[in-house]
Amino acid sequence: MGEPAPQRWKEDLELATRCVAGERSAQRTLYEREKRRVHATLYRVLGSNHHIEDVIQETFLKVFRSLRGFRGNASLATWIDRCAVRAAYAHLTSNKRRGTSLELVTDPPSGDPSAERRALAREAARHLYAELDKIEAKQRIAFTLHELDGHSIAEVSSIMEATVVATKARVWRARQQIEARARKDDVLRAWMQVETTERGERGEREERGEREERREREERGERGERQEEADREQ
Amino acid sequence: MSSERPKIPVEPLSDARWAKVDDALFTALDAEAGAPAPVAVPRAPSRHLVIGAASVLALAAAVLLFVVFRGAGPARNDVVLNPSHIETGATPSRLAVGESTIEVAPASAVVASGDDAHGILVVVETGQVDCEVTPRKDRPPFVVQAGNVRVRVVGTRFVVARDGGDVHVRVAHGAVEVSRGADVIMLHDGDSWPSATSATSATSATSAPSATSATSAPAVTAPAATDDDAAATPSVPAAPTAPIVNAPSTSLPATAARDGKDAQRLYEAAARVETSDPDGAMASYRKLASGGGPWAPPALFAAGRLAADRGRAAEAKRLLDDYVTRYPRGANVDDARRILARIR
Repeated sequence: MGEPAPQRWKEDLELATRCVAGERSAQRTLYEREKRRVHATLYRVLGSNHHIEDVIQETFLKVFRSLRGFRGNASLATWIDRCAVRAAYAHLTSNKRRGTSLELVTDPPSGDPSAERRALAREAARHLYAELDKIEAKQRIAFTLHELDGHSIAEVSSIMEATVVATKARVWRARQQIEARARKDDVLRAWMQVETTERGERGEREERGEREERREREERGERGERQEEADREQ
Repeated sequence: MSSERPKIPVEPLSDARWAKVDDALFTALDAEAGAPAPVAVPRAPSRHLVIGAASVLALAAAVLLFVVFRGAGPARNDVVLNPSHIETGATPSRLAVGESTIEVAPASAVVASGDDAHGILVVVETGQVDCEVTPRKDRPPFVVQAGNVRVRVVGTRFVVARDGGDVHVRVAHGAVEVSRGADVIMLHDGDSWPSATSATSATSATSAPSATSATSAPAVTAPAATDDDAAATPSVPAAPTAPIVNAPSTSLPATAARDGKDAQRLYEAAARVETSDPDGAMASYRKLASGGGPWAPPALFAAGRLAADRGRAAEAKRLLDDYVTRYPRGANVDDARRILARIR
């Protein structure tokens, strides 16, 4: 991602040039090279394969329509990811969309040592995307690209054409909401267990205690202010 | 959050669903390619639209004035961006691509991309380009593609013209190699392709051994001699730089002379069987390389390149080092150095 290597840059530029010239074989080459990666990214953003064909198609239409502006400043993969993100954003914010259809992976075969882990992931995904459906689309995209698709913050900011600060804020806000949900949701909490274990239960308790204390202080402050106002009025 | 957390599983799309995406996408692209220019739907103009339209009209007028007053004067000079689509009207356009220049003839459309550091590709959609390419030296090659015809050059001046499926190449000076499908043709000063007598062979005035006809995969061509090389040894052929695939398998001549037509035949036969009989091809290249004569340099390079393609790094290094030492101004010296760098 980001700045392409010279050889890759050359290949990307040649392929893009041929695509711009309308060479169908080049367009097919690019499509075949990238389609599964695009599908995986879109799947992690959208949470299911529901209507994903339309979004994939829209992504590649955007790619082929916009390649004329490709200058090779970033890799072709990043360029394609930008188109995928725009298509996903349009889909997430469209009126046609009615929640996430959670037709996730088939059940793992019994006896598989990783079965429990995968079953947890599957169930957690249902809970996670149910929560992500409530989050603003840009926050959701930033969060899924960073936390689920494995992009760095810098890469996400490049893909979303946003500043690093804005991207960090989007990821942070989405994470706050997911973590808040996880505190009440055993499945989601179990899925996020690795992190909480790393932090340590003590740290978690302290953090929670601090938050509750802060909230209480604020509430006390508000109550105090209201009481003062009431006293003044009397 | 941690990377050790179980990954969200991605449910793969079935082949049928992928086929649906494929069909829909390329049908849409076909429709866009064949669709007429969109027609504006009449609607009540807003204040912003009126202002915008006025700006566009002013800009169009400025462009029109520029075109009119430029008249039939000298072609303008543009610097190519990556990639740039250039369409000419009644007047030609001259482009600077790195240190090389491309003159795009009137009523032509080309896409040019790249620079001297990364190589240059010019795709001729229609019309004609007149390319003046400075010797590439250590720089990546300059390639012109017109339909399924590919012209790769190290340093020369040539013209590529395309009218639908018909492509014509004419070399003013220097040498280029033209490939279409499995046919690879070497063109030298004054040559044109296709010739009046044959649609697939070069019209080289000096036949032996200037025409290299090693078969090659589509879009895989050999670099041609530089201007310097062409002047010094105008008949020295260049060897293919990439593995030769899908070539028809033919048996090698049992006995072949080292010079003249027999050497050329032996070289061509070796090129054809690189994939089906690499050992035989290698033996022929070595035989030609050891004997001297005009086919020795390309044969030595081809042997080194073939060894590299087969993963025999030590052998490739020895052969290509030998090539660079023996023929420091050889037609394939840049490619040899690139392969050596890759091996190292």
